[in-house]
Amino acid sequence: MNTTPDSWNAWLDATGAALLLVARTLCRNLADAEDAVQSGFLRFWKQRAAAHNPRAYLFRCVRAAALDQQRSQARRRRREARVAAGGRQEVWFRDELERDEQRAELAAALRKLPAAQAEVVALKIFAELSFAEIGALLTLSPNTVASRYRYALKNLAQVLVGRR
Amino acid sequence: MEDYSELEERLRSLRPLPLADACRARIGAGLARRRRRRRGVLACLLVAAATLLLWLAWAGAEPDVPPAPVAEDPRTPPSLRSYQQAWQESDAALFALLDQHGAQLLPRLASLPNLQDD
Repeated sequence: MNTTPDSWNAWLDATGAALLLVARTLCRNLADAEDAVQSGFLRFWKQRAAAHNPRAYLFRCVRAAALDQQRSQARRRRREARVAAGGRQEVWFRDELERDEQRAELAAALRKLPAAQAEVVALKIFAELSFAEIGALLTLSPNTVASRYRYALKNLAQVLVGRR
Repeated sequence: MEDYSELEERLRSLRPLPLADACRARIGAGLARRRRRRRGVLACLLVAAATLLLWLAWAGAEPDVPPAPVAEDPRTPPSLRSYQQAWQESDAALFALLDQHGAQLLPRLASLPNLQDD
């Protein structure tokens, strides 16, 4: 996406779902992921003018917010309490809600990937970032990111074949 | 190397959950709060700048008049003046007196008994 939306609503329209998905790969429930998107987006909006690549910077902000949140002891306790109380259904994609079996199966396989691999898939496929941009975001070389991505696809394929 | 392009296509066809309206509203509220805070700071700066300008204008309008010279009061006792000035004034007064009345004074001074005794 080359266009740069001016208003915050346009930014959220263009990237909101991908931001939430990337946050979901790091946070273990929807409420925490939404919190991370909120605080990451506010941080991004304040400093977006100075960003060389605003779109990649937005994902970096949300990722940093998600990691900060996971480190927070208080939030972890609250999350555990919510999970103990039943919590909500862990769904990442609309397809799962619509009971599209094939897609739901793929979504479930993606959710089962190690967090680092799921994150790279989310950033590559849904955030539409290049390997170089993902590498800058994760402080990894583009080659490492590419091989992690291929491992993720290989794992996904194995999970899907194993289910059939 | 295995080809995963079909798998990638399937992944791309998945639709991630959109941001909930409540989350979007919280982001909007956060941005509005930040805008209000920034406006508040700007308003404070403006008031401070206006106050400073007013004060400068008021200070600049005041006439820069030097203090009026204090007229010398003839009744001011010599002790309050400078020692040298008082000395010179008394000398001048004595000589003026002698110039005017010296001829009359000297015989009388000479006739004073104390002076004769000394």
